[in-house]
Amino acid sequence: MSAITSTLEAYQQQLRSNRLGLWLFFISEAFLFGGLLAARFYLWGNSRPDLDQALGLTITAVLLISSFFMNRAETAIAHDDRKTFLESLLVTAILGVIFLIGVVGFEWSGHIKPWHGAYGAVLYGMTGMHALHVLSGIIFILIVWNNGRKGHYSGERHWGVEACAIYWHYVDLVWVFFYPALYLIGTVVH
Amino acid sequence: MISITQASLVLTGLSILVGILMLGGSLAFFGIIVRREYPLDIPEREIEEPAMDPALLAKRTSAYRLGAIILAGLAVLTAVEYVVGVAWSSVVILLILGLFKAGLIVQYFMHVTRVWSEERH
Repeated sequence: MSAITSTLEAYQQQLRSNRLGLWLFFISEAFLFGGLLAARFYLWGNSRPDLDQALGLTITAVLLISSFFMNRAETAIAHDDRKTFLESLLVTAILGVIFLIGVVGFEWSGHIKPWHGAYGAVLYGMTGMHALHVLSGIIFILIVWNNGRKGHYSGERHWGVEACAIYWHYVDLVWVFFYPALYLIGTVVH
Repeated sequence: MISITQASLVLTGLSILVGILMLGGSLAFFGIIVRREYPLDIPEREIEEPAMDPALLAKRTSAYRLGAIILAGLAVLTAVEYVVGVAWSSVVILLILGLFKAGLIVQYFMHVTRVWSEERH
């Protein structure tokens, strides 16, 4: 067995362990976000505060589009298309920033404040925890982008990109459940 | 004499403007200054896309297309979700739609099956 084959096999075994570790991390995170969702249904019941529907739909669309570009970046590096990879990563990060501006800059400047009882507590708890993950995801993407422009990844070896992509999609996945829970389920309480 | 509301609106507008300028400035900084100070580690010619086998090119195009199809599916489901939420607010339908969206993301974007089926990218 040549040294190259041996190294490649070791990398592939490591890759499998890395993936398993990352998914175990997601399962532990699911308990955190699940707890927040449970708090929402326990405290709000079949009601919800009067939030800006247009803003909710817009930031949801922005996050979904960012997931598309993240997927595009991962696909690109897997096929050694470095230019598309770097461009898509940057677009993903910019869309992530737009999402953050939408939540922190606009939603949080609305009429509901954290001290406004159960509505404020749940709204800020859920969006705040999610925004923190979006922020860490953006930092993760920028690190990967910087490594990518230095030529650190290839079609055969890009675990860093794959991990970053899966993490970003996980953030999107959480919002898939948070969006209806915050904006759509229940009758509006003024 | 301007009211407090008007003053708040002006301040909010100014904050947004400053935010946009800072974002643009940061992008310009990274795009122009950092790139000039720290050039790419590998020569430009290596970054250029190599001539590809038509079969590999077709595979890559197909992979990009799949991503676009999944995005379209997610967009349609989100639009339906919005209409259902605003018009009926049915928890059951919203939950089912959410599970469909989550399934698409987990299967096609997060590649969950790789955890137990593949040892390659």
